[in-house]
Amino acid sequence: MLLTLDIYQMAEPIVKETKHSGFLLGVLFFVKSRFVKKINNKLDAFILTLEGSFHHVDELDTPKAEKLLIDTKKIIDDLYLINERLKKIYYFGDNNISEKFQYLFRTLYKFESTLHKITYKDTPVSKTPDEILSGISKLNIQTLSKYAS
Amino acid sequence: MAYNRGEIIEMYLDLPYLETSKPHPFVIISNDDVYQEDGMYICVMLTHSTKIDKFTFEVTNEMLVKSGDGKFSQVRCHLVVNVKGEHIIKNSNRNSIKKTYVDRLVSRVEVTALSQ
Repeated sequence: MLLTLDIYQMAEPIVKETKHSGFLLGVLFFVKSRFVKKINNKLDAFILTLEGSFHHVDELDTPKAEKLLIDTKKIIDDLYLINERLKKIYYFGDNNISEKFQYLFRTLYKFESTLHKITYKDTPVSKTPDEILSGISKLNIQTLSKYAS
Repeated sequence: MAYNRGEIIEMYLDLPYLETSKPHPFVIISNDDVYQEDGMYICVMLTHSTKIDKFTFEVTNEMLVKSGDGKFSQVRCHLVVNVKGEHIIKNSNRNSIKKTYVDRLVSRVEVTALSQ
């Protein structure tokens, strides 16, 4: 029996299916580019607004600082999830997004810490036992003494 | 570096050690460069005290690599210590704070204990 091999017939399904792939890839690339641009712009705007807020955060009274602190913690948690999702798809191949997220987190941590400081500024500080303070001091002296010459 | 940034280690604060000495937990916040240059670690103290004030950084279970003991824990951001590896008690069941949260802790130390 003579075996007939028809390469066109074998390849037909995939050729047919992907005939218009060039057009489809073009559309997908366009959508992706727009989305990446949009995320970059939104991250820039958020970072700028947040940095601008540092000039006014000291004006907040304790209850307002406390409320903003709770909201900021929630936003940080939400952004952790968004960042993890984007990390899994390599930030659409755009390094700027990854860098902006890292910068945004550093700014948010500073913002959160500033709010924490304002919220608890009138709360009495828990007294550290003398033996702890003394122990920490001794450890520091022992570790750093070799540099004090 | 025998110990890593974020690792929770234990140390005795009574020097010289006594039989009644109790170990205290600390978190390493320094990076590899500090250890490479001078063979030491910069740490902040952990406590189970539930009183919250401006030096508190609460450590929740989600921040830990391994599940914690369920008790409330906080870092005291102003209790910073420089230690050499020899001061650290060897413990096989060590836990760590995840990198993201160590960055968050360092920011808290900077703002609450080191800035005006």
